Amino acid sequence: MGPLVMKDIRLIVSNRATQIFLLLYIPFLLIIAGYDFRAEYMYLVVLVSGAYMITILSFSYEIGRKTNQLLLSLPVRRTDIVNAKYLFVFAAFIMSGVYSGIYIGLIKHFLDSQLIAFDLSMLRNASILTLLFVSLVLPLFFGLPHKIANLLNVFVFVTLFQIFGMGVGTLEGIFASPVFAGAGGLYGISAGILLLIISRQLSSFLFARRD
Amino acid sequence: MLEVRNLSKKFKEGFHLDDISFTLEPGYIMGFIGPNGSGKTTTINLIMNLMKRDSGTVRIFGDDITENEREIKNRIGFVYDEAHFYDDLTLEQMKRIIAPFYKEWNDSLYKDYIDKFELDSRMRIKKMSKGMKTKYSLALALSHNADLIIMDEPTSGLDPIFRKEILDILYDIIQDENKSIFFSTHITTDLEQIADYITFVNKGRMVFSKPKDEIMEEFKIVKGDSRNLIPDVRERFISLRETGYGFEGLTREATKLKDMLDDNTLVENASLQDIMYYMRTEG
Repeated sequence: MGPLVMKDIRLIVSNRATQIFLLLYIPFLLIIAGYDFRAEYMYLVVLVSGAYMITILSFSYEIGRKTNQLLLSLPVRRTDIVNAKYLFVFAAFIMSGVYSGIYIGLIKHFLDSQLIAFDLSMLRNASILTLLFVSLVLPLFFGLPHKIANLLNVFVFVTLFQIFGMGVGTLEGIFASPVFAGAGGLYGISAGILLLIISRQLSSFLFARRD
Repeated sequence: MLEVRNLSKKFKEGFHLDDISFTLEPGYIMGFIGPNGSGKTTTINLIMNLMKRDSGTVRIFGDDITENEREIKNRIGFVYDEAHFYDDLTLEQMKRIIAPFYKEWNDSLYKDYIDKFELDSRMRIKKMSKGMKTKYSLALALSHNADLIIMDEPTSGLDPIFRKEILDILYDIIQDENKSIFFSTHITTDLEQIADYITFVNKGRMVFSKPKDEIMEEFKIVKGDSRNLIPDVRERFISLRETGYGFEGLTREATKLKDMLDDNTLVENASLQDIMYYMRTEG
């Protein structure tokens, strides 16, 4: 499974579309959100969007260009491909965290030292949101035709931004709820991982039956 | 080495691959022929477990592909008719993705093939022509000491010189009597040079799977005057083509027809292309 995860990591640094996305999405989000958005939520938005898109972009590219056919001809089982994609979610989250941390750090340093703060509860909330949304989307790509999966992916991504757009007060309410903050965040993280496991089972089931 | 039994697959679009069976022993090359849309790529996809079969079995190295997929594919070199590589990558980057999957990847062999095929490792895949992609696919497929090489239209899009070079490489590989090659092609002259067995599919059904020499012995082209085409003669042809100058047809009964027809009748060896052409209605 290691080569499959490494393959996804290599593709992130080699794929032109992903490179362009990584370069532009943070300034784009900063412009859209403006300076009214509270600093810690800005980093959360950047981190979750990055992890989500890093996971989905390479996968969508593979399915769309039938590169997954190449993978299936290699000495791997379909379950290996599914497992690797779910493992990659964690790699994508770390990559997004490091990348956006450096990017935002540079912005703070050179442009506005008040913009965007960082704290651990934000990191916890970001990981729960990432697990939730990635769990919803991955089975779509494993089980449905590419165009339909892409369309549904757009809906999920818009929903994600609807949550971000609910305003600071509502977000604070959500993140203070037991689902996110219960037992110091343990409930939320556990629920996120459980959801990911269920999603993985569903993906494996769908992919095994797909031509 | 490769045993396909009663393989069937039905598609929603209407195409139906039905009851395909053949066996390829170690040390031989099998050519897989048939017109466009006859089911060649579907059969290969089913052999490689890239598609789910409805019924039948595929045993490779004695094991069912669905039960021992990883170990079996580790010993297969596979070349697609249309290579689905990651376009933004260079050849070297793509190789770094592919190589770790194979236990017996041989990097120096890979470099030899890259040099032999005059490919540039720094070139991006999207800049490559179809022929270059096929060469690259071949380099990857031949660099991990595979025991079975499966190729879907490997020589299409290649110039005659390189096609000849590929056939020479395949011939060298087959000198190791533990290795086998299974490949589909439209260019039947390639098969006439190197194939030991021919499997012919048409309209999703198998027409035959036989040693090439037996096929060449069995099928003949008979040419003659149309006035000789009495019903008893006609029924001895698999298929006939009549023009203003006479007739030409494929038969399994050339000796009998020679006796029935006049001295101006010509009997010639049938090429695989002739056989495909005249048997296109079979299946």
